[in-house]
Amino acid sequence: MGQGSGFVFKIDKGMLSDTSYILTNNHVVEGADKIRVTFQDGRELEAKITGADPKSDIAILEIEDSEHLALPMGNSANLEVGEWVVAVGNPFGLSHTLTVGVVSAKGRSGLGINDYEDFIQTDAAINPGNSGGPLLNLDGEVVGINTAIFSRSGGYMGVGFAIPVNLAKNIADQLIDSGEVTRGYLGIVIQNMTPELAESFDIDEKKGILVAQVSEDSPAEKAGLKVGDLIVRYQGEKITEVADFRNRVALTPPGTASNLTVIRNGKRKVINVNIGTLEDGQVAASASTGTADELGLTVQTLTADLARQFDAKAGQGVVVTEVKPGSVAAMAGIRNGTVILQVNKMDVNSIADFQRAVKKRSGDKRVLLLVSDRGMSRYVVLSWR
Amino acid sequence: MSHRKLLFFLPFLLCFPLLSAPLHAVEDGGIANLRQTSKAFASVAREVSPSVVFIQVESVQKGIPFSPFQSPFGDDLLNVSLATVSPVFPINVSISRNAG
Repeated sequence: MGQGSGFVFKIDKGMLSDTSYILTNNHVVEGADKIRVTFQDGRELEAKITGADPKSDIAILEIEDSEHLALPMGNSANLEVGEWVVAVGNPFGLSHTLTVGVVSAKGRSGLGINDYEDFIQTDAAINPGNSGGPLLNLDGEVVGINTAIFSRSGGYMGVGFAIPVNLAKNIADQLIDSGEVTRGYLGIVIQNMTPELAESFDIDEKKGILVAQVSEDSPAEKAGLKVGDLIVRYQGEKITEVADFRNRVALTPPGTASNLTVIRNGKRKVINVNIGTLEDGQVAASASTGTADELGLTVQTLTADLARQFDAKAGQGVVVTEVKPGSVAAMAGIRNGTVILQVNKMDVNSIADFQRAVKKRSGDKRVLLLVSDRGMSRYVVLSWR
Repeated sequence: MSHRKLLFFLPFLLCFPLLSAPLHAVEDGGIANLRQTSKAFASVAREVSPSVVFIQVESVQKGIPFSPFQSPFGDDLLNVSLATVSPVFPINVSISRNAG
């Protein structure tokens, strides 16, 4: 038996009966056989799941009732760091507990809680049982869904995370309309631009999203997006963070004609792309050995067997078979099985290619690698003294 | 205190209440602001609490007739004891979903 929180999100007045939709976290109701919701006035009703989306941790329940008003939705994009917020929920089963705090930060991602993250961080006390409850502004509008806490004790430590309501609302509306969530898909693997990468690519832009891989037959490939393109705008809006860009693409309805502003070879270019549909399990997208002592790497040509083993393509890249502990490669997170596709933007398909390319730039004591780990590509700059 | 000294300090003594008056005003303003904030919180509580629900979930565990971790006294007792130690996630997990 588990417990959590939720709130009336929407009411549908029907001919025979009314339905109230309750918004909560997927992890509160996942795997449930029986769900009961209790209002502050003590009324207890049985609920059923309308739809759930584990990727964003949002679920919608329905009850046959329309006694209570749906909470008004705010605009989480307008939230400011430092703004007062209020959390209402049932920590440890203590019903309708209100705690207050401020917005500590916005756009938190990379926490590893959900596939799609863009959390509001708050110091309003959130504890086990608060999950699914609303985070509200002082106008009583929902601005977030309390979802997670950072804790070493299991309880409140001043760092809580809420899903922004703009994201939750989009998902919830889709769940009510169709019972499932459809996400937009581009078919690229991306990474944040860093000053080091910008220097290696010889571009002035220090912010943006670098395309590290373009999937075959994907909307991105059809639109002409290329590895090494730096995406700086999506639908005319400035893009600086991978998580934000990923969320925006995912929330774009499939079939939408979108545009990306990219920097390619130092020139700005607008690329029109038709957003595709993200399917389940889809991701945006080697035998003799040779060494590169400067980097602390030993590599091997990708044979068909090795390619299968490392989720790569035979003849495209070299696979790392040994990383010297403490070397620049080890410090950059390269490990056995990492496939090196390019060195300084040149394809390396054999050990000879690899060694030649590294040697060519060893005077600079810096190389730019395009590497792939389990099918996911990224750029890495290695520099040494 | 001589008359000369008294005459010297008199203007300062007369001005003191005037100088301290704004401090009182600031203090009163601060408390008034806090009262306003407190009213705002109370108003949010009043407006939203009726639409917030407490969710209780039951799932049938299949294939385990009895385990030492199950309460022989029913779910409620088990629930209370588990709830205090973060039910779903182990304590040493640094970031956890906070479901009950």
